[in-house]
Amino acid sequence: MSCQNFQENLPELIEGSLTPDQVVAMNGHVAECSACRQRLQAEQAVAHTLSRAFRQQVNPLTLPADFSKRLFAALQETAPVKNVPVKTAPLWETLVGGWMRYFWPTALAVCLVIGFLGFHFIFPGAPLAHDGLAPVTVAQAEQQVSIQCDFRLPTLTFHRVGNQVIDTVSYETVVASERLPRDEGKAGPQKQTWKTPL
Amino acid sequence: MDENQVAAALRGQDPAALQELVANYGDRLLRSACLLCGDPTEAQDLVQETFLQAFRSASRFQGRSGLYTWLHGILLNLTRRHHRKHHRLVYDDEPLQQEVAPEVERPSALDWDFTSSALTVALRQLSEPHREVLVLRYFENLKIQEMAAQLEVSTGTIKSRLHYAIVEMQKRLPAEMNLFGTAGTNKEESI
Repeated sequence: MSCQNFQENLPELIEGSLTPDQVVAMNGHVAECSACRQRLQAEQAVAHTLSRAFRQQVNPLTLPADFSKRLFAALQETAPVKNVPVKTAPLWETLVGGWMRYFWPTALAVCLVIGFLGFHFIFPGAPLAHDGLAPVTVAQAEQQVSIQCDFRLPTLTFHRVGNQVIDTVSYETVVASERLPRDEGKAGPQKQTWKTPL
Repeated sequence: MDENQVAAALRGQDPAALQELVANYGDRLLRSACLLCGDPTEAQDLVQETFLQAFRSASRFQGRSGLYTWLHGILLNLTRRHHRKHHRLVYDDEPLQQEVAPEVERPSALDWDFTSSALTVALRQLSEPHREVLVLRYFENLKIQEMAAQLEVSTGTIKSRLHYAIVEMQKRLPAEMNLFGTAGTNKEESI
């Protein structure tokens, strides 16, 4: 057993909560290590001295004779009020009042849903612009494939420090988006040129 | 009444159960409270509040621990709340905050011996977490695991606080108390 292990388990050894095997191991280490033996004796002295000091300090103290009387008086003061009739509302008032609480939020939600659906029924060709490119109609979007990729573009900068030139590399992330026609009939890869400006 | 009967009566809000608690545990709680707060008058108020709270929240007592452990847990929480309200924190070069108790305003003759003793003064100079572990360990005789459960921290934290608290007490107590058993006088010193 190492001294570190011993000292970690020292409080449990003193309080008697180690297993018999652990106690044997600890005692075996104490027999061989004078530093840990001294540490054990110091801890035992602390436990004895502080316990005795605390008891000498407070054992003479007792609750005053009128403590219970004061306690029950305080209990009476803070007791909840009993036998007070609680007025309850009629059932119909409870039901209507409960329903009315949810009326306005529900009405607002229904109006929003109707407005959203109505807008798309009235304006079926409304543009969809999800990918940051020029807006297209729903019909056009169905004929196209949207592609997006990002890449890191290195940038070199040079500056002079005394007689030396220091070069610094930094990277800029570029996001390129493109919309290509959906080509379902033709075989083979299609060559496309990216039009995104750098 | 045995402990289960007292607990059941307490849940039924029977005042006789409260009277039983005071008779069985009142003095012990008072002594622990005195060590924790350093003033017998404050300690009486804390013990009274502990019993009141225990009576009001009796339904929350599940029986997983003993009645005294439960009461002592209430006392610890009330003591912490009391210190937060009435004490100021002093920040110094020490790595941990230390609480400095206010001056005892009008100590009675009975209180003076307690509040002026070297042990009480040294205890009050410790921070609350360190004071708690000393009282739980060396007055309540709790084991490390029990202390960790009551204070809701790890056993490593308990051991670390204990070690620091003992070192600090050694610095603050008179040399005659001889905490570590090194060479000193053999006289029985009044504390």
